[in-house]
Amino acid sequence: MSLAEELLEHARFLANLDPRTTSQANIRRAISAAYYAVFHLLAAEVAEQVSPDSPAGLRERTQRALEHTQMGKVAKAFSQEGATRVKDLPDDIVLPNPVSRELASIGNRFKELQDARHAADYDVSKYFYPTDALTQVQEAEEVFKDWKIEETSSNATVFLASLMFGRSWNK
Amino acid sequence: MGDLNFDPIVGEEVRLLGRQGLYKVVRVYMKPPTRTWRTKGDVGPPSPALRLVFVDLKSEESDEVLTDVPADSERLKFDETHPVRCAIEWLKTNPNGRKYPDFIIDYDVEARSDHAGNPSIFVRFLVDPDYFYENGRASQERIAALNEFTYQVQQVLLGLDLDRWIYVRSGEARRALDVAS
Repeated sequence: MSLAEELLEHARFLANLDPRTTSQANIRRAISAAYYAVFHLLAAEVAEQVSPDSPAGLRERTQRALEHTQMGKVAKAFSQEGATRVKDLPDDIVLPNPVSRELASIGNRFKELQDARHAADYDVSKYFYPTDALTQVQEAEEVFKDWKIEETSSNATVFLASLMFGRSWNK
Repeated sequence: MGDLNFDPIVGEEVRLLGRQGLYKVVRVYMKPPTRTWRTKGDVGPPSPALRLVFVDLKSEESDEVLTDVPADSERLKFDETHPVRCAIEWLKTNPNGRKYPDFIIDYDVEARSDHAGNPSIFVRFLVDPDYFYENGRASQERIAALNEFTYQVQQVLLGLDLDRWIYVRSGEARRALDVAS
């Protein structure tokens, strides 16, 4: 089982604890783990695309170089279904197909999960209901399902490269 | 079912140029246009301006009520959540076979920055708490349907091209009992 899948499993476990006795800590950790599950799912895919796995540790280092804010911006850029152009994509890179429903959904859900993760980890003024965790975990599950469909598309390679290089390839 | 329009919405807050403070829209209504004829230079269909919409406003700070304010008055200033509210009100009319779920009790819209400092609009749909559960257990199917609804709303709002990050969420509405206690 990959780290991403383990994190999703962990999020699922925490979100499904008895709602009558669960704690804010459990709910918040569930929301956080749901985001990190998706983050690691995509991060691993990016590293696999842009880096060889030899010498040992190279791909892991590549994965470590990903940056949350940058990934959020790319997710937003790809979040509109049917779009034929996405923000910040260099002019000489043409999106092979309009953004699919799956890719738009991944984009939307990634930034939703990211913002929810931030609130869950840092905003003590917020109260979270058990259902907040359940909805976020299911959002993460949807990303896993959508990625299974999208990962072989020609847009997926552009999306993954953008997650890594989006900030610097317009130099 | 009508087309998406950007008329004022009852309950939203507006500012009125030349006057201090916030006003709440308490009534939105249409009046027959006073100019029903067409002048010689008019071409094409009648101007949408002939669809005259007025509002009554109540001051948030005093009892002052202003009536018959034209909705298209340049003095009337809406905040940046206005088009989002309009889109949601339009979705409530079930346009194009798109069903607005009956388990949504209310919604709120807020304009602020997200965690990364991006100017954003947050929409939160408040859901009947009973909706989430079936035979005492959280229903995965119902949560999936809710997430699908928020995704669809997000797509509509992205289509408004607001140059804001759009976040659409759902959450439990507090029970009336909780609110009262």
